[in-house]
Amino acid sequence: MNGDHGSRGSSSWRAAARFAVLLGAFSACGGRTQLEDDAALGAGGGASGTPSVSGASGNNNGVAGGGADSGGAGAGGAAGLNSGGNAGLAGALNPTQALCAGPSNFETHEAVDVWTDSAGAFVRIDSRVFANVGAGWSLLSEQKGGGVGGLSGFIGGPLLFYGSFGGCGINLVQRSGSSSCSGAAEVVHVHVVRQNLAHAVYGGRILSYDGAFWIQRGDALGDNAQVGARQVWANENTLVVAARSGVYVARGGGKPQRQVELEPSDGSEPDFTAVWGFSDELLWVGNRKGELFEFDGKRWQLRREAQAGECAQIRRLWGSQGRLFVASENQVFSANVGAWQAILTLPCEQASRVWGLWGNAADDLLIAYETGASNTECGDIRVNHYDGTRLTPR
Amino acid sequence: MRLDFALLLLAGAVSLACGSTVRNSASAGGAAGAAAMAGASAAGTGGSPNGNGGQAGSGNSSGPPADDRPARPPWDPPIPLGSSGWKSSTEPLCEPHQGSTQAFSVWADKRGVSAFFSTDCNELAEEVCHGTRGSALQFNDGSGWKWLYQGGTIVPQLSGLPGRALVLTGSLAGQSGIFLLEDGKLTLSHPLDDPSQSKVFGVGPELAYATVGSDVLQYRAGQWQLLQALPEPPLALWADEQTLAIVGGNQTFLLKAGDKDELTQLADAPAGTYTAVWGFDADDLWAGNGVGQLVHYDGAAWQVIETGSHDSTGSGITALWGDAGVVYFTTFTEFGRADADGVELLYARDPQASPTEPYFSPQSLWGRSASEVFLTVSDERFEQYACGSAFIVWFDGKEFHQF
Repeated sequence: MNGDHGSRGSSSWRAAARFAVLLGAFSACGGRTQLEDDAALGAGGGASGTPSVSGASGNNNGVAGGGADSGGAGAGGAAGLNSGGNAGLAGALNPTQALCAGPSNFETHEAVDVWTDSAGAFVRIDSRVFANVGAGWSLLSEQKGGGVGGLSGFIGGPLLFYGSFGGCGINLVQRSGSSSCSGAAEVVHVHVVRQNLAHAVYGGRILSYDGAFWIQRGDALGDNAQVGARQVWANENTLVVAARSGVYVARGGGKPQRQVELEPSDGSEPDFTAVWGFSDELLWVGNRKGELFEFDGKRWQLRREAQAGECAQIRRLWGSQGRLFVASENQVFSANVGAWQAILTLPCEQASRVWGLWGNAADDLLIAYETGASNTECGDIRVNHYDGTRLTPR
Repeated sequence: MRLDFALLLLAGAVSLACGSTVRNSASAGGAAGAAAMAGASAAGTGGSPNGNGGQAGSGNSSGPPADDRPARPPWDPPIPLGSSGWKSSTEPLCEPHQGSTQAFSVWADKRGVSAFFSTDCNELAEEVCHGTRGSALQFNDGSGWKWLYQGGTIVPQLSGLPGRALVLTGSLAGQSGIFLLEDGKLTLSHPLDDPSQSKVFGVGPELAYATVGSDVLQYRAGQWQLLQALPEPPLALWADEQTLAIVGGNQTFLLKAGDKDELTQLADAPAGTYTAVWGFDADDLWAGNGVGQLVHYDGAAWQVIETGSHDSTGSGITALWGDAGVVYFTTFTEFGRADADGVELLYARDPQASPTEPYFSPQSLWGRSASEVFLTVSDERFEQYACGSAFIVWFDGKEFHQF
């Protein structure tokens, strides 16, 4: 259904990116940019707030895209290179570039995600997976059932379609579109370390993939309902789980340790929702309140709090080359040159939200979001590419 | 838990067909026989088990209820059937109770085959089945189905102590627990507060295991004792004289073998929800999971085997039974077998088939040998007819036979 789209003018990611430079999608102002449709697509403008990444301390007043509120000089200049109006032009002049998934099969989306490696970009929209390996978007696979979940993958290898759908927790989707079920029960997040090492979480369980099977890693963190694991990140030595009950860190294959520093002093539920790491000693976690904490090798420190009016919950974290990207409910922002810089801002309303965030490098990032517009011919899911300075519809 | 949910779905579906016509039954009239297993004296008179009247030989004197639905037309399942009957038994099983099916279980040993059927009224759906609901146990030693026991509405689980007693787990006459039906006499062997999630596996006349909630019980020398408390309720169990295997959700695959005192989790069990288990010994264990796969453990290594299941109900593997290295398995729409050489789907309902097309939904599975495997089957197209949707077939290793 989408094979016709993107077949022209999308011979390479870089070509598309160059095209987008001319038809930039940034709001000129530093304030919140709201997207109503593709024509109004705008990236969040200038950075704001105080520096807060890696070593910053003290107040963290940064408001992504909210420079007007917090004296956001920051990196606003970069955003100013692009006018918001041009973004719409990009969509109009080159519509075949963009994903056109068709009207959704679901009244409301349950699972939208994006994942990419150097060979292509992949988007999950509920039960469907779309691929763009340089020749435009096409439907790669459709899994039975629905349910929450996401999309990940092995670099150069199969994708991982995971969640709760038809009883199969993790489906291995080959680049050819064929798929097989791992047998694992419902999982809520997967993180791939290498071809024969990946981790998944659900409830109070951590599953690990050894290249053949997913097996449970150690004892349960606790009762499934009480722990409520939401995301996992790992490298060869360190594994971090963000959960409703807190953050758990395991080193060297050891038992995950609950990070008591991150437990709210008022006794409320920690409610962590996202995790990313750059190394054993540089970890980030975010929670439902919109707080971001950094572990610098010695201790956890609060680096950012949600500002008034923001859709607070941190949904996704991703990083590369020391640059952290953050997806909240309605924004994508990053820590760039010591300041929080808004990249994309959506209205803070249930109908529009940021769903997925993944990249190959800090200047090669894909963002999947729901526009909040009516369920048009192409559906309401959009994918944007971020090249380090600007967004381009993909 | 998944099984129970599916049963509720089935119950809901059946309820739509209930409470419709009330007419004289063409099949009514015969007296139910009252044979009891293992030499119990038969109190009732012989005759077709699908008739009303007569007396059950044990437990309940009311006999089969009147079945006032019209006569059932010939069965046309979506499987080729060989000659009807089993041994010298030629009259098909008839279950006269009406209402939402709560259970339709089969169990067998050297003496014969037992089938337990239970219905209830779905009052939320304003189902009218007063006086027609209930549960019944029928037995066939190869000479014909006999009305063995009729209970009230109990939470039904059927199993047995091979060569000795049938085991019913549920609530009956104000008592709840594990009941033994032996020599025509039903006795409460072990009272339970809540038997609804209980399962019993009989190894021999004097050895059985049960799961009751999260507890594992052992029956030996006439006594039930707590063997071990588990962190969460399991879903299935299998045992022999030396081995006990218990499976469940969250990768639960527990084994107690040889002289070991405790069940311990098998290392590196592939992740999944295990819904069924069978074994030939501690080094040859099979399990079914919630996505229709079989998992084999040879004592050292694991193997995940795709069955080719396309079951659209999401039931996963609902039952396993095995003999001579062959395991038979069911989903709600499929029946197959596997051994060390591979897997074979012997029947698979088209996932796109409509409910009005020939239907064949396996409900339970047990056998006496690899060439004598029994399946209870629901075909809801026949709910409006006498004897209802309940059918039983047996598989001889090559073909199916109505029984």
